[in-house]
Amino acid sequence: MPAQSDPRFDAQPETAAALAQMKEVAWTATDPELLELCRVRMALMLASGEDLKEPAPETLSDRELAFLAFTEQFVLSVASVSDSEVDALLAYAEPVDVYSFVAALYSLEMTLRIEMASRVVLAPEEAAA
Amino acid sequence: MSTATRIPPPQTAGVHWYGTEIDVAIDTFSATAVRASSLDAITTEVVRLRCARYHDCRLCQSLRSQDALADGLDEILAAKVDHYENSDLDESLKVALRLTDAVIVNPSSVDATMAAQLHEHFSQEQIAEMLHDIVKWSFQKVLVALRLEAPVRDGLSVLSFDEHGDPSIGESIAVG
Repeated sequence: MPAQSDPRFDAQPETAAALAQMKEVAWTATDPELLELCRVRMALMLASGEDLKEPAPETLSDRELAFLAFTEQFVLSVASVSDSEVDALLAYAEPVDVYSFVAALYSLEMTLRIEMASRVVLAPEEAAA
Repeated sequence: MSTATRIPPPQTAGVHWYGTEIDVAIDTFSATAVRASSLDAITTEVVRLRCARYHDCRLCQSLRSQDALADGLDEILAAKVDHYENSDLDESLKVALRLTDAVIVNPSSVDATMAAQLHEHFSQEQIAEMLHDIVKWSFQKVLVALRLEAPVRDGLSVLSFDEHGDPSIGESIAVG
């Protein structure tokens, strides 16, 4: 079944469908539990409006903390990601798996960013409600 | 800031980066976004350049769209992207760049004023295409994070896309 595309993008249906598919594949490209943890952190950082709660920091493993730290820097300023932040991921995953995680993160992050913008610029009645 | 690659670069140049399933999905989306054609080439190019500069993608900053060059893009216009609010760029380009900035910096800042400005200059289809383009160009974030975005040469190069939306980096551009 094709991934469900965002109806706010009905004016560009083919691209919207490809974007929805990219977002869906992201969940199978990497550890989905880790990705969800990082997605929640991203959504909170971007003030997406979702009602989300993060697990208590003391319950997180060193691996989860490393991926969350990378996620924060990726969202805030990718140009400032450091060698050590990537090395911290490489302590837990092979290079190609680190790449797949970052690609999955990009897919979810940028989709979320334009979803937030589209609520206002493509569906102003939705934003005003 | 180190610019050495942080993971080994892919061995097979030009084929979906590492050949993973997510690469194929990203490339399919990217090619589809590139084939959309409701926006003019200059608007598409200034949005691409803004993403490239904000995210510090060395490769993307070294490229110039063949279609935009054909439509009159030059380095004087390209330089104005950096300080667009104080430039003499067309208002429609400034509005497109404001949306780009909002999405890549702080999407919760998009407001009704920006929506009104956008709809003054662009159709619903064009705004949707612009948002998709911002996602497409921002794939550079993956490359920048892992420092996989070394330019192909010193100076500027021509970026073109075939009828399928697949990219190709062509000859160098003489500046001056």
